Amino acid sequence: MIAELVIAYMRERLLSTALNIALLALSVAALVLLLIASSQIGERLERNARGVDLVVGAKGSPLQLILSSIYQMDRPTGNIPLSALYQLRRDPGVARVIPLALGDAFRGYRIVGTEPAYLSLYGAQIAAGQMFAGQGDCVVGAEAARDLGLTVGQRFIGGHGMGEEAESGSGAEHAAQPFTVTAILKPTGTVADRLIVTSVDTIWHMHGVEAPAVDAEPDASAEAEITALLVTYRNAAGAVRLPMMINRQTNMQSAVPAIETNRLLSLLGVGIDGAMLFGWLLALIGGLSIFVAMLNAANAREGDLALLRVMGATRGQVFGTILMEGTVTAVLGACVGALTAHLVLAQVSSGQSPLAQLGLEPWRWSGGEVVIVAIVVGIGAITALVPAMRIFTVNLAETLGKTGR
Amino acid sequence: MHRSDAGHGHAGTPSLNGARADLQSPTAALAVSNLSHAFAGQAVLQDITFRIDAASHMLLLGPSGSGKSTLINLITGILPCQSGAIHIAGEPMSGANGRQRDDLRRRRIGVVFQSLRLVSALTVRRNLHLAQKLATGSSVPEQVDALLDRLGIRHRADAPLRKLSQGQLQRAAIGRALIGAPDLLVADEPTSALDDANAASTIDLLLETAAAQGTSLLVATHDKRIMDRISHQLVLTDHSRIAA
Repeated sequence: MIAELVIAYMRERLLSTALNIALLALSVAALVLLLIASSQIGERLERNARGVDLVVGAKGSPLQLILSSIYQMDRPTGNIPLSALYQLRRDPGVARVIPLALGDAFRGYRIVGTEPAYLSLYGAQIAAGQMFAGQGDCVVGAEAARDLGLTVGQRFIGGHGMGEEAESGSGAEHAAQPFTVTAILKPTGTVADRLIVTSVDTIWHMHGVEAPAVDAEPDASAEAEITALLVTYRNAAGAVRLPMMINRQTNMQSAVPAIETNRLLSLLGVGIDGAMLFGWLLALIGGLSIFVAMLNAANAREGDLALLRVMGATRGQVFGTILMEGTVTAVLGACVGALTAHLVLAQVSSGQSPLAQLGLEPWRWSGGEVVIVAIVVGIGAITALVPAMRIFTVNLAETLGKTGR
Repeated sequence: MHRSDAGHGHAGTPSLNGARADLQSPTAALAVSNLSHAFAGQAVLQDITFRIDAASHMLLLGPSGSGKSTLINLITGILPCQSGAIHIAGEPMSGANGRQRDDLRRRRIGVVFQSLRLVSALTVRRNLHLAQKLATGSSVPEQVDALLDRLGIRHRADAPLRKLSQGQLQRAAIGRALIGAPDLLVADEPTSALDDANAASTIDLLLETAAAQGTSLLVATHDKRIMDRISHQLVLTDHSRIAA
């Protein structure tokens, strides 16, 4: 009985109901979007930086160095001599150094010249094919392969540049040195999914730089350069000594991913906190709107409420009708909002947008969303409570006298 | 204006005061005995006694302020009894608490008002389903359709209420009050807002459908157009008593 009446009353005030649902949906969508963004961005940044204690690159902004080398999001700060790789590998405080040669892309997906050890950082496994070995060989991350339609054995021509020119295809192409896909990687949930990975030699070759002899360590004047080095410490002494040594005694800079990531997250956090506050404010306004709508409805339906009581409905049933109407409105608003948030995220994180590069998972639902939905439904129920309480104060004889006689 | 003789108590005939109403009689759809009521110390009803037997009809007449509405509110359990006794089909309305009065009204009484007729958000059909469900705990679509047929509004059963005429709405209200097969149907000024043709057909319909279901009928009115349609009449004076 209650459900039928609730549906009938909601249909009777369709516009008002729809507006209240839309208002709540807007607030929930904003809150859920921010929740997903803040939790997934932090998680993603942490996962991408796992296993890298220090990044060494050309002098410039440490945050830019971290963004470009670990998250593959910004332009590199410049190049450093290849000799730095050998020097760091000899250092007793260093367990592992992985070189990166950046600067090229294919239809917006970055081409990274490195070693197979880079992929092991992300636990990447080959889904089909073999690891790159020869000149021009490359392996493609799962997402990049899917979006670009690349399969094993396929050849493509990379282009110079990593920014808009790469996305638009306006960068200079290395037509003479096409890439051959030797493997497609399984999805890792990391930045590796969106990369095309090849050897440093291939990058040098594409740019007409002669690779140094395998067994000879190049000096600082050698032509071959790399973009950055991902360093893993062997011990705590390395962590204390190396950053200071690199920053003071060389023309390079070192940046600690954990520090830069925290700085980035705290900067983002201020904005996210402000936006979350705005979202909750919207939710309160939505609740207030339900309160006003339900109060007006209860006033307008005073005769109906009295009639229902005369027909034999208990106070609890009539009370439940009003309470449920407010609650159902809030439930619909919350569900529509949560769904909208995921749809919006799916839309903006597809293709080549900056958000897409963050690698957010739009259809991953989090427990925090349940809390947001529960709170918003609670707000709806509480605001409907006051109008619903009117049924306990309605004077039946007086109401029937006013409206019936 | 006809007034029934005091003491008539045979089945099918209402009786007025002068003799104490037989409260426990299973044949009495309504028995009121020595009923008095006051608001803020001012008497509204004084020592009212009468009964309506099963399948009988009675007209409750009286000028404004004579206590008709209060009497109906007491009979239907909307107001609690202060003094005297009311029994509906042998069950006490007087002395019952709010929940018990609600339950007795739900099971035994149908009420038709002048303008407060139906739940606004529902169609006529859904109103009847709801009323039957509230009264009996379940709804039987065939019974609803049969009653809509008898009321002559089945073709309008699924139309929005705003598209129904006043006469159709009042017919629907009669259906809503009767669908639970009550022992007593109380109609409060059922024809006041209707034109002559609709007033005549409404009172005819009330009498016919109540008779068809074996429901007793108490019609409170000051509408002169229907006064000659029910011979048994109870007249409240402006002194809040039954006219001598």
